[in-house]
Amino acid sequence: MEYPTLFTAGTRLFNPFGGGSPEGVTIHEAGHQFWYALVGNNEFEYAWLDEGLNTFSTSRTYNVAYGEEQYVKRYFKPPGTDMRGFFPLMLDGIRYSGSFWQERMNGYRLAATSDSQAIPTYMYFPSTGSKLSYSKTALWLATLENYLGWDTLQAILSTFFERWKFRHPKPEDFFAVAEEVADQDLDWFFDQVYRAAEEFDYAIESVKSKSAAVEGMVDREGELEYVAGPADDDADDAGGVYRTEVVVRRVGGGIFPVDVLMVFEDGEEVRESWDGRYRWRKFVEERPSKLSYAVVDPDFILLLDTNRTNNSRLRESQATLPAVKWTTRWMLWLQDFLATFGFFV
Amino acid sequence: MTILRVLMRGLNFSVSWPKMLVWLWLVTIVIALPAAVMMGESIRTQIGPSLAYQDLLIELDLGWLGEFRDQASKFEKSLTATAVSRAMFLDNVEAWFSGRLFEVDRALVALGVAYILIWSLMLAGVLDHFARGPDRFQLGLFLSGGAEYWFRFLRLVVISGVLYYGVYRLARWLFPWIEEATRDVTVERTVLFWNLLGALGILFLLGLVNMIFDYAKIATVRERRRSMLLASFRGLVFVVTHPLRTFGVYYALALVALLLPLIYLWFGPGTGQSTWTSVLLVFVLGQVYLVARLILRLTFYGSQLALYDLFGRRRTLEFRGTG
Repeated sequence: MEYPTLFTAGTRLFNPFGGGSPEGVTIHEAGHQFWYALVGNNEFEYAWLDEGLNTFSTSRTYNVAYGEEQYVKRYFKPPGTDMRGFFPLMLDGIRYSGSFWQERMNGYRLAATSDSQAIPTYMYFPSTGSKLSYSKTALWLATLENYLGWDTLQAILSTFFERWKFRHPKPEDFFAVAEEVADQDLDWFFDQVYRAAEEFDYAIESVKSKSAAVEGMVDREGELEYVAGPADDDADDAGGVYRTEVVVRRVGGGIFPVDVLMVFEDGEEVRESWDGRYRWRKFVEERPSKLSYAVVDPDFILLLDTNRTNNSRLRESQATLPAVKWTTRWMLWLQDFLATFGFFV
Repeated sequence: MTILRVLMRGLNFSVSWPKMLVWLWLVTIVIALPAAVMMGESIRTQIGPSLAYQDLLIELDLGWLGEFRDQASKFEKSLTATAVSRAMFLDNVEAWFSGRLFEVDRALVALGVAYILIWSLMLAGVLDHFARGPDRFQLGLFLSGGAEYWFRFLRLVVISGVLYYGVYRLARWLFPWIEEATRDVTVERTVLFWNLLGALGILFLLGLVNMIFDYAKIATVRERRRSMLLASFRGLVFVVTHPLRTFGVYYALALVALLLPLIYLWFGPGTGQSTWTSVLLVFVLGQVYLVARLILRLTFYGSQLALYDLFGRRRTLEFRGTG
């Protein structure tokens, strides 16, 4: 907990190193000496301004200092109490594969459209205060970092700090500093993440790779042959050319410029940019190889994307093996769960 | 020495009829499989044709899991990070201890209740088999023996259920009381100590009820009792009159029961299976664990039966010909 020139942070017995405690809370509460204590925003109305900036600073600092947080589950929670379990267990093989920022997404996703951040914090939809103030701000700041680059975002934060320390900034003051330092109009971004409650979700809707339909003379082993009408799936009929169609959709209301990566079976990669404004866009490529997969936002710039799984699409699903893998493990848990019921017989 | 002897006798009971073990194991498979098929389809749909499969073959991606859980039904939400990890059994131990076993999704609780009903039948068959000691396992004899005592055992489930409920209610009162009493204590070790002490008390009571009703079931089969209230009283009397032996046998086996999930936790497989063979191997390994757990449960009954035969038996069940 933060206080003027003082903060407190709790720790527990048996905390394993790498599990994030007490380092995370220590960094966070120390961070409040900057965001809220020196840069003194109104926490009652704009809690996101200190909690959000501080959450972003905490996660980034932790990641630089300690690397990725390991998954920890605490056992032996005294029943009927609000206490957390006494015995922590750190488990390997369980992590955020894409980006450590996804931890914040898991807190924010269900509150994505509940309220705009611009309304006073005390008026947020019930139980969404921390999701919108802490997680959403951290996610859009991290998205801004990816979009503008760390050097620019760092300059935005330090300028905001220098300019507003020992003063009482409002949200618009932060946005003004951001635009001034980045030297570009960012209203389109803040309008969506701050003044509205837009959900961001881009998806690869469909991928098709078929032999190109041709009409004309085709070279076949040195001899020209007339081919007409739609070709079948064999590219030889089309002179060795496949027509690939990738349809990308903007599923959410939020608009953000994204790249679309198409990877072909021969290893060739094609990257296209899309302003992401219209509801969908079809990308068409004619190449000597079939498409292997397509990804929208392949560099994971848009950390506010609430559904990362639909960002990629293979021509043929490979879901069966992982589904069986995790299902058989879950089934083992279920069998043990049932056997535990047997205790009461 | 007596304790060791009855433990060995109990172990002998539990492994003497491997076919019986297979049937008991199959029951868990048959009940769990439809739910697993549903869960598998949900997981497969969620992964879809995406590249998420790559990460999921290496490790459990918490980002993917978060997406899955945020749009999942309560039943699907039982797919948690620890439920598919090496710590999966600890989750159930914790749920059992805290009484939250009955607070999960209704469909899962329904499966658990169904298992209680079927397990009552099976257990009656098991004890009848132990009591008769036939040369080889016969499913017909096993089921007819089970059917004979099934409803009596279900009545015992109801009686013991009232007591278990009482213990869990006590826990729901005790731990908040400890929390309140230690709220100003600044040393966590002290708080842990009092909570551990409380846990030991609750575990003792859970074990005591369990043990009394184990002997009640044994007395029911051994003495062909029809009144389950009197059988429960008989179980209580036996435990009270032979406390060292009954507790000795129970806690020796309870220690093994505690070690089993810890062994799986330490030596169980990680999450990196990326081939059909390795996935199958992990599944088989898990099933071996479950069979070991079944053997242990039967050893509880076998040992307690042996102890009861030594010190508590009043009438001998006459061997009924198998015809």
